[in-house]
Amino acid sequence: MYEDKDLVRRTLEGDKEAFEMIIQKYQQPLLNYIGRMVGERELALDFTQEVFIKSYASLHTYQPEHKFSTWLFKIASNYTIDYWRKKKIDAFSIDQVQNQDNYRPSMQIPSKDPSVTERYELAEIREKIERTLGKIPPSLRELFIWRHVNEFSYDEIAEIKNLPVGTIKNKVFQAKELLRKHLEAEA
Amino acid sequence: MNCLTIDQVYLYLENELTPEESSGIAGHIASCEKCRRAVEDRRVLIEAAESLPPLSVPPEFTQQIMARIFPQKSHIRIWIAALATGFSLIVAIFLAAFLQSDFSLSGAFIQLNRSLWSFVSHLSVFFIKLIKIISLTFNLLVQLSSYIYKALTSMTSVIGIEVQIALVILTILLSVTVVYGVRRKIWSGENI
Repeated sequence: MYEDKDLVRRTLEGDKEAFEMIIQKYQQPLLNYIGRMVGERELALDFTQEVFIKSYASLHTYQPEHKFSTWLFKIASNYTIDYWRKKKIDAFSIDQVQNQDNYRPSMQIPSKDPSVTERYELAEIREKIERTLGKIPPSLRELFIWRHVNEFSYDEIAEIKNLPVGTIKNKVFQAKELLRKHLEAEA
Repeated sequence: MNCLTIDQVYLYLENELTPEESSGIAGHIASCEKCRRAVEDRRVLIEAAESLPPLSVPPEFTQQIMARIFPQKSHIRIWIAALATGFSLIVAIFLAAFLQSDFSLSGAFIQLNRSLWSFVSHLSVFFIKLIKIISLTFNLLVQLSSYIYKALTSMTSVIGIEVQIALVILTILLSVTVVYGVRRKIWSGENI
C-alpha cells in the first residue's frame, strides 16, 4: 500500500495512476461525508467529483507535513460550506450554535434521562440516525460525521477545522446530545 | 464520586480519559443506576452511528472523475489523424512504386491530373442533373396535389363513389407516366 505523500508526489510528477489510486482510496469516505451533509445521493456524487477535481488542481499547494486526508476533507468542507452559503443557509458558523438547545458542555445527566436506544434494535437506531442527521445544524453535523462515520480522531478534526481540540470535542458532544434529543422527539 | 456530567460520559466512552479517571467513572457507574443507563444509552448511539452503512459508489465513478480531470482526445481528432496517416501511407507507397518503375513521374502526374479533372466534371454534371430532377419532381408533386385536392372536392359533390375511385386510379397512373416521361427526357438530353 502506497503512502498518500508518495501518491501525491507521483501525481505531481505526472503519474495519472497515482491520482487514480488516491481517488479509489478516498471516494468512499468522501461520499459518506458529503452524502450525509447534503442528503441527496446525486448531488453528493457531483460534489465528490468536484472535490477531487479541486484537489487535483491545487495539489501543488499540499504541504506534506500535514495529513493528506485532513487536507482533502478541508477542501470538501469548504465546498460544502459554499453550497450552504449559496442556498443562503448561514448555519455553518460553529460559534452560532454555541448555546443552541440550551446545551451546556458540563451539564449533569438529568434525573429523568430518557433512553432513546433501549426501545429499538440497532438497525432501527441506524435508520433513525440517518433520518435525524439532517435536523442538526450543518456545522455540528459535519463534526459528528467526521468523528463517528469517518472515524477521524479529535486531533484530525481540529486540524481540518483549524480549531482547538477542546472546542471540537465540545461540539461533537453537543451534536450527539442534539441528535439524541431529535431521536427522542421522533420516538 | 458525584454523578457524571454528559462530557464525562462521552469522554469515558471514547477512551479520552486517563486510566485513573476511567476507573473512577467505572466504579461510579457500577453503583449508580442513572449514570449507568446514561452511559449505556450513549454507548448504543455511538455504536449505531459508527456502523452506519457506507453510501454506494457507482462502479464507474473513479473513471468518470479521471475522465474529467484528464480528458481524452476527441474521437474526431483520432479519426482525422488515422485518415491523414492512411493517406500519407498510400501516397508514399505510390511514390515509391513510381520511382522504382520505368514510368516517368511527370507523365504519371499528368495522367492523374486528367483523371481527376474528368472525375470532377462528371460528378458536377451528375449533381446538376440530380438537382434538376429534385426541383421538377417537387414542382410536379405540388401541382398534382393541388389538382387532386380540387378534383376530389368537386367529385365528392357531383360524381358517384365508384367513378371517384376510378378517376383517382387514373390520375395516379397518369402522374406516374408523366414523371417517368420527364425522367426519360432528362436522361436522354440536356433540354427539357
